[in-house]
Amino acid sequence: MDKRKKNAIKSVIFDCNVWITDFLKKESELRNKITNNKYQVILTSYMVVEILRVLKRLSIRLSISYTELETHFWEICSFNYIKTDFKEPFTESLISEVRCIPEFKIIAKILDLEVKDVPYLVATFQHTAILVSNDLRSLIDKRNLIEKNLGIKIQTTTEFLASFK
Amino acid sequence: MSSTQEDIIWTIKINKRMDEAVQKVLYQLGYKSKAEFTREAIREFLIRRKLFSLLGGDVFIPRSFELTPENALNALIAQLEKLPSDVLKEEVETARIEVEKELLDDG
Repeated sequence: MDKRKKNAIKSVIFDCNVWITDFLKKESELRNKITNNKYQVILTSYMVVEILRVLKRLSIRLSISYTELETHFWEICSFNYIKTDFKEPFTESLISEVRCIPEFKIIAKILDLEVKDVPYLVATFQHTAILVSNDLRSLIDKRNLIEKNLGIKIQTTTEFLASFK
Repeated sequence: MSSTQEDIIWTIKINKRMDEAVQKVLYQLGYKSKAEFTREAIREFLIRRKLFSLLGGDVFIPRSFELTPENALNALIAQLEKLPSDVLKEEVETARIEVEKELLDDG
């Protein structure tokens, strides 16, 4: 049982900030830890829209084509450690994910969070994953309450990396 | 569904053919009422429109790729590292707010 537990693939969810500033960088310690350990990074349709929106904004900053950055992103998604939790057509998956806005608002209100954090919490709960976020103002600030009520573990990138030592 | 003070009742005039088409969809897809179907259909339409304003169109997952994931990762990183980290953080923050406003704010 213990051996099975040790070999089980663990799931992790990165918030958009972690994706852009910690994962998609040269010599990323976070990427090394994920690839060298049994981790899968979960991506839902809502998370993809956030990342693509960032890439769209960055393409304007860089004066390059958004399509180029978007294509690279989809190519990266074919790494075997990235698990996409959506199907074609993408928009249908997104509609299913964001159709529960009233419920999202209730969760946000109960936990005193921003609504944009709730899709991350729902996905983390569904996949029994760890949520890695550097959002000190919201998720990290409220993480004890979230862990107590939903059993969801939230770590900063630094704490997540320290857990491998 | 019970009404609240925040609810508004729409009265929409439609022709017989449209009504028949809606009845058929209700029967096939298991909607409980025309109102439920209409609400969902409008909401789906709005999400598609909002996705258009966020990303310039519908999102299609490519069926084949030119680059390996490793090469794509390097290519994307090469572009992102041209920007200072504070710019990246600022754009992430702005993008998250924009996505929240478009997709999670139903008024």
